[in-house]
Amino acid sequence: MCPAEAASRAADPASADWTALGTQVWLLVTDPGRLAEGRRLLEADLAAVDAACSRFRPDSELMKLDAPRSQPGPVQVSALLAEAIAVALRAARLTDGDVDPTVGDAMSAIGYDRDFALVPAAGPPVKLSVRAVPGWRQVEFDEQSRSLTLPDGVHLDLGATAKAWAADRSAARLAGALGCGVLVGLGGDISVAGEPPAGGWRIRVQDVTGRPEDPPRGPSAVVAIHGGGLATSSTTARRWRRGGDVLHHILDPRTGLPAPVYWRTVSVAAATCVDANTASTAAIIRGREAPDWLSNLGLPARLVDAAGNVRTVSGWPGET
Amino acid sequence: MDSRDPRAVSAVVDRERARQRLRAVTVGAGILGVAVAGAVAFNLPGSTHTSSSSAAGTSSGTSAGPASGSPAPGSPAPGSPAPGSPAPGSPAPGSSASGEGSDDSGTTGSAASSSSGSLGSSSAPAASSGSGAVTSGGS
Repeated sequence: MCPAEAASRAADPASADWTALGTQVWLLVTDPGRLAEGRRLLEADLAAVDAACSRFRPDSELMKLDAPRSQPGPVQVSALLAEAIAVALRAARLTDGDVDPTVGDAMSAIGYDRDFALVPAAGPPVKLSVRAVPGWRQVEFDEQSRSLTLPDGVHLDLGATAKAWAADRSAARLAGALGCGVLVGLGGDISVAGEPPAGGWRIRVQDVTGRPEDPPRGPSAVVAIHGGGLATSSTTARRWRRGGDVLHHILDPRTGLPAPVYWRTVSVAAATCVDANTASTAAIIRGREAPDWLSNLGLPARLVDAAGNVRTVSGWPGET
Repeated sequence: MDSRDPRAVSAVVDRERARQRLRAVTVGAGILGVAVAGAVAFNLPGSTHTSSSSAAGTSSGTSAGPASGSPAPGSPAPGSPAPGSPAPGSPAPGSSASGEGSDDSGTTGSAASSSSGSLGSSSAPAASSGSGAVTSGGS
């Protein structure tokens, strides 16, 4: 190995990966000596988020909201769940309801009612009814007092925003605690904080999140970011079959059904991962309107249509 | 219109969305294709299977729309440019959510000031050679 190559490798971030929140977790730190401590902190953060926000754990705080109560009315939620709900409601507001946390029942109705690893890849047909979700305006929430009121029949699913928010939250915390550059990746949701490595954090965007050493399926590109977040939403991931229907996990709140596939994959870079994720998810649902919407917001994005053709907007590097 | 054609389904969904954005809420048949004898046939994307649902379960979308919301955590990246133009959708009149407009309320805000009323933009990513240290795709 030549000296230049050795120096370059020495500057490469150290990484660890494991599974949490039903997805693959990646932690990269620019100071390899801080990796173990960073992992300890991140595991604790994600365990807390899971306990507060999981839709698939009967003991989670979110699921306990659905338990029958002797008295109707508001409940006070924990600070952590309050933050997650606030993020979800903001996403709904900023997307005109495209990213809506009241999809809990709709998601269950199409078969996604447990950790995705436990959802059978194929199964008998399910009745698919077009029915708008209750809508986030039904949620009464005061962030100051952490007071939450959910009408009967309204069940929250924070899956659209919780991972991205958790990535932002932990990246900021770890960068402060470790005193180095940090990348936290939860599935396709990536947040970075602290001083980045030389040349930035290199991220390969593709249809389905995988290991970087494995070749991607479909079109891909490598980009570098120095701050903020990058998120990818795709209808090619978390798919399952019921009867003759292929279903995926990105629901159009207006129909309660998987969004029609105009863009199969959308990646967005933004000031935070949760903003990137909010925009990428909404772009899938907005379909052909998405490029103009993203451009108007000034959000760099890469959109892959159903046939695999790539379009980029707002300064995202073009691909030849 | 052939309701089994995914493009046709997409078109009607787009039309429905436009109607909602105008807040001209309409309830009844005909929103998602051809309602015949109380049934609407539609096709899911990528599917060759036609499903049916009762008209009673078919909604023109009576709820989803802008309203409350609260500040969210998430700090802009250092040195990132100012956020882009405001996101479409403004709080709806008569929203019941008490958090509406409380953009400075953040009780827990770990990551600060994405309490803004728009999605925060960032510097565009740079093209990079070589392999990625991580991947970002659907998950």
